[in-house]
Amino acid sequence: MDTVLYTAGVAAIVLVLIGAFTGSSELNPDESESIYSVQYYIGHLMPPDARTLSLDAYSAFGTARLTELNLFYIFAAQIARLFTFEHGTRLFSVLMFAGLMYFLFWNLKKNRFLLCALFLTPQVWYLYTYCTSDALDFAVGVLVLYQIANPDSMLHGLARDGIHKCGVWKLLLLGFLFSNIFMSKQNYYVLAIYAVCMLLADLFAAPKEERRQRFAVYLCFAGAALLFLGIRYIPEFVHYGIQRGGVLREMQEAIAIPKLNPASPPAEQSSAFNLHGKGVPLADILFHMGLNKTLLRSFVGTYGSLQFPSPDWYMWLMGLLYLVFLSVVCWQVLREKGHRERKVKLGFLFICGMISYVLVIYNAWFIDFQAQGRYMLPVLIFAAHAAALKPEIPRQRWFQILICATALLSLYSFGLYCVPNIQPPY
Amino acid sequence: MLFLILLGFLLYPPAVLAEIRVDFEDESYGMGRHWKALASFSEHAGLDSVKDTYHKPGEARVFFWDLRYRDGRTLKRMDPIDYNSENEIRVKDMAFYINGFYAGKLEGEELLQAFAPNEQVEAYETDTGSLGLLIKGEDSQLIPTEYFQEFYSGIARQYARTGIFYLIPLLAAAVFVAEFYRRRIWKGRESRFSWLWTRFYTRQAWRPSSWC
Repeated sequence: MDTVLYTAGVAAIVLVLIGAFTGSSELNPDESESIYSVQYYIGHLMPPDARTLSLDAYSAFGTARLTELNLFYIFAAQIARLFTFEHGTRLFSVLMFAGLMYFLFWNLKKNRFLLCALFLTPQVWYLYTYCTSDALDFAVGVLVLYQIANPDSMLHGLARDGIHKCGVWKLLLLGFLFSNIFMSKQNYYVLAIYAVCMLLADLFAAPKEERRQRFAVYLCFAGAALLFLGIRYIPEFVHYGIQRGGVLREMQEAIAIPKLNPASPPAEQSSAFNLHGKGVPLADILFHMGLNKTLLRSFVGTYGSLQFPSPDWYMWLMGLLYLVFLSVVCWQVLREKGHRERKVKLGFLFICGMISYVLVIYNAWFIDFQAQGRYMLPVLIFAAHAAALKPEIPRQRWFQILICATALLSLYSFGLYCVPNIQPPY
Repeated sequence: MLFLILLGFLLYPPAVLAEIRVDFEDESYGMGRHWKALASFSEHAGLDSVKDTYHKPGEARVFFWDLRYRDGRTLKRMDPIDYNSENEIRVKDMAFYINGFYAGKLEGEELLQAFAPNEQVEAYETDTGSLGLLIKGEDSQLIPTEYFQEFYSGIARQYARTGIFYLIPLLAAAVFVAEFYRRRIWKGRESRFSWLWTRFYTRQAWRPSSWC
């Protein structure tokens, strides 16, 4: 099984490479703004003032990637500046994907639950074939998962032993990692809720004499994360003072086209915009507009801007495999005697998954009806942690067979329905 | 084995990555995205032969893999623009890069000799030495001439071996992948058939709990 998974992993890297270097740059969601942002940071060091940006930096929605806190564009620019070929802006994403696969297979023996993060759906692989900050957000999620779910991680080591002088660099590194959650896209904020819930569960499961030290370490983590977030906010404060939100809103209203402008009257806005303002009831959103079906389809394998779906039988099969995975994991964790903290954690993971779903519904109802499965990708982190709750699960035959099946199906979908369809001309 | 692969590549490079960089006289020319190149290994060029054009003001770039660079016939045609703009397009020069290395340039009269226009475009040398293209229809085409094919095949053959700078890291990556598998995956595996033998050929095989 490990050979099958390794082969699938190498094949995925090769396909991502091919997709990244031959795929059209006019097809992927919002890629043109991301490429502009990366190219901006090739020539500039500091984040810009939104009011000084040219119109090319803005999308039709009146938003600019350069106004985001995300560090993806800065990192990608440092790699892209070394190359002159056009798709150099995608190289950082490709390297991140290769790094994630290497990390996964390095940990294959002891932390097999990581397989769930990368082999349950090819939609994750698609993120790394084009220039998007979602790639960094998901990679941060995988590293956060490793730190929280692995009892031998740096985070748990510090929590058990306390922070000494020689461990300060670990604290800062972890603080930097966790601070990236707050700089990511809004759908990844749920990872902060996940981290807090899991760490609190560990806190209350720990022996009484260890709890005080553990809590103090958690506060230090939070402080370190806020420190790096504060550093990232310095240029924003210099540009806007405390009016950042207001300035960005003004720019959005000034630049967005009327159909996609939040300030336009509901009647003028696009039919998918601000459905709540147009009086569309929640029941319609949930049951009559195909949101759930589109969400599932785009979660398991739909590419481009929802233009290239995988076949129906593939969707049904993947959905069935997910149900089996969920059912068996829950059954195993819940039927176990004792280990109450595992059941509590399972409950928290379900709550985090529901929050992810509710955020998608909120976005669809109040802002823009976009049932994109990539907004639900944090759920993979929760699924992986669920598999880690009982250490025997990732070593069981049913798990091996299921993850091999999803890996091979993902290869099928990605190889036949993604890479060939994203080729130019487009 | 690796040495043989490298030697084989040096003796007979199978392919090159060609880049054609079209430099417009007007540095702010923004219609470079309409410049199309059709490249195909067969004699025919269909819709799937159109290569993605990357552009910035004053420039258009096209990339394509070329397996038949030795005869220079992969590039089938270039379309300056797909609609009748009735404007003059001035091309200062066309630079060629093989495997990322600068290989040569066509400009002035050489550029004029390199392409034959169809009836929807008029090509001439301007007073500034650029290639002037006067678009007269919606399907303007520039067909590479024998002069172009000889020029291109010459520079491609000269620079084809530079592909070794990409082959070496590629082979290194392949060796790394194989070694990683051998050390971390293969050596750490359980016996391939042990679970099969013990599960299916003992009584334990038929107990459902043995699958968990």
